[in-house]
Amino acid sequence: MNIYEIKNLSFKYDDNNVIFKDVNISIEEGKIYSLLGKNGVGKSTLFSILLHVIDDYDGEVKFMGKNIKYYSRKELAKIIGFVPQTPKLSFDYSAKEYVRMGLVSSTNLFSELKKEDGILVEKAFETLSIKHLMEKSFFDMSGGEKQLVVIARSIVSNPKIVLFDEPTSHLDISNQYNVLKIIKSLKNRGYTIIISTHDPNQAALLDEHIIVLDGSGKISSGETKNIISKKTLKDIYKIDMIVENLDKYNRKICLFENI
Amino acid sequence: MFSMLLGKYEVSVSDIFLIIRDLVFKTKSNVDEMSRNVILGLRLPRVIAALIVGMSLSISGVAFQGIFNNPLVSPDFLGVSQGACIGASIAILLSMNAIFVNVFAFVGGIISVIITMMITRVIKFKSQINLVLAGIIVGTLMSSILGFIKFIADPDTELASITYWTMGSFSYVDINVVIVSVILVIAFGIILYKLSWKIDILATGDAEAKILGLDVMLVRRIVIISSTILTATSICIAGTIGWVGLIIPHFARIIVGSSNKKLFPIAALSGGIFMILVDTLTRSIGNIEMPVSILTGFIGAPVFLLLLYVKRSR
Repeated sequence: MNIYEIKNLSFKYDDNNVIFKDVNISIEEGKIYSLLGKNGVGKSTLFSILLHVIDDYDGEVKFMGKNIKYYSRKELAKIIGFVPQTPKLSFDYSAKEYVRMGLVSSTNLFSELKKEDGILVEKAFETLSIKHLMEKSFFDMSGGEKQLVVIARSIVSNPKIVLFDEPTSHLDISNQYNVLKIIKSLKNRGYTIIISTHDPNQAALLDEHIIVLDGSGKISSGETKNIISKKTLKDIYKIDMIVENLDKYNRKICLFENI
Repeated sequence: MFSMLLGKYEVSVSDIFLIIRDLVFKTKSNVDEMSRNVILGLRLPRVIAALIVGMSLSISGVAFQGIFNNPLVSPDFLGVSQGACIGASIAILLSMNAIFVNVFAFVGGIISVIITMMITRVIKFKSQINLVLAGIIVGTLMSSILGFIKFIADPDTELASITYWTMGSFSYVDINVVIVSVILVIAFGIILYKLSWKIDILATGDAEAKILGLDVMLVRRIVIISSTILTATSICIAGTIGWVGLIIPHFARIIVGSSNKKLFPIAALSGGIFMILVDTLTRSIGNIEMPVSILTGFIGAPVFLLLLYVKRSR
């Protein structure tokens, strides 16, 4: 089944800033999609449309067989998990309290979480093997730990799909590795994943599908091994890159030419 | 209790106990009638008034800091105090009696917040920074209007009472106002307490909270309405009192952390006690009563500094 089916999507902020022109794309259940594109081509805008935060577009966005406009905010919040680029928190809470917030969609205005919801919270920590962080204060955590806790929040309501908006862009190499590994493991547990990234190597590592935003207002998608090539990278980033096969690991790597 | 002991007319501790016991159990002890009148007619309402004012300012301080994601916001952030001052001074200018001064103050405070909210509607930016700007614009405008009213007021009578009013005092506490306030504080205090977890979630920012499934606009509106009514109520009782709505929430944050569920009760309790303490001091120091705001500032500033220091060195 297709999680998303986007037909004839067009969106612009104003006449000088057209983001999408007549885009058609579908997202299959249980697959992992990497979103590649330069800064400002509309990766975050696409997420906003998928999350139904932006709704003044032309065309149709179908979510699980039904036009996304017919879902309530709460329904969408339950089925779509979201990991923002930099988690924001104005006051300090423990990781556990932070993850609990991911369940707000199951409560009414004046009601609160039930006892059994605590089990869901614990399960989310268990899934990511980060139970040791549960009581730690959010402000005291490192960037890598924070990102893992945000991922825990995104899966606590048992969503169908999780959207990651450049989840590794502020992390060091080892934390990038941890987060990517967890994203892959979520895919293996059956979650559908869309992740935007600046690094084609991450897309190659995560495998399966790539969605390309090249700035022309069109979106193309395809299997990772077909998309990662000298030509597409040139189309996306407007620079020449070296693309080599890593036969031992059965994937490609992309490198800069000399500077 | 301690607060009721102090004052120009001496009443013994045991007498106070007897008077309170009489009040609660409808008994009749052998206490001097004069003492009874002083305690029940003057000091008890005054202590309750101080408690209510401290509680409502602290509760709305916590709530406003929560919804604006900023620990430096105080309850009069959206212009409620200035509006109330204008309302009250118009009533004073028109030589109306005390009840009308209260009503005018209450309405003035609410109108001022409504104007602030309407400005944000007109500007139509979605970020909350424009609410801050609107608050500043309305606040500035209101200060000018207040300045103008002071300018045209009779310097001997009206100006003095306007100035005294804007500095806050518990000397003219009206028992009816206190009773209404108790009801309002309980009602809106409960509403805010019931929303405490939702206010927690606003700390993740509007965009994220919305994606998580929280009705951000609705929560924010209810909180603004409730807090504004609480603040306006406290202004009706005692005029504008600075600092309490800022430092007490801070004090509570240092003790119990960020969870609003714990913050509301702790802030309410410590705010109430602090206000009673300050009021007791204002009527114990010197021969004439000092306006409350002067003391809250004198006590608040160093205590605040001390809190920050303790927090840092920990």
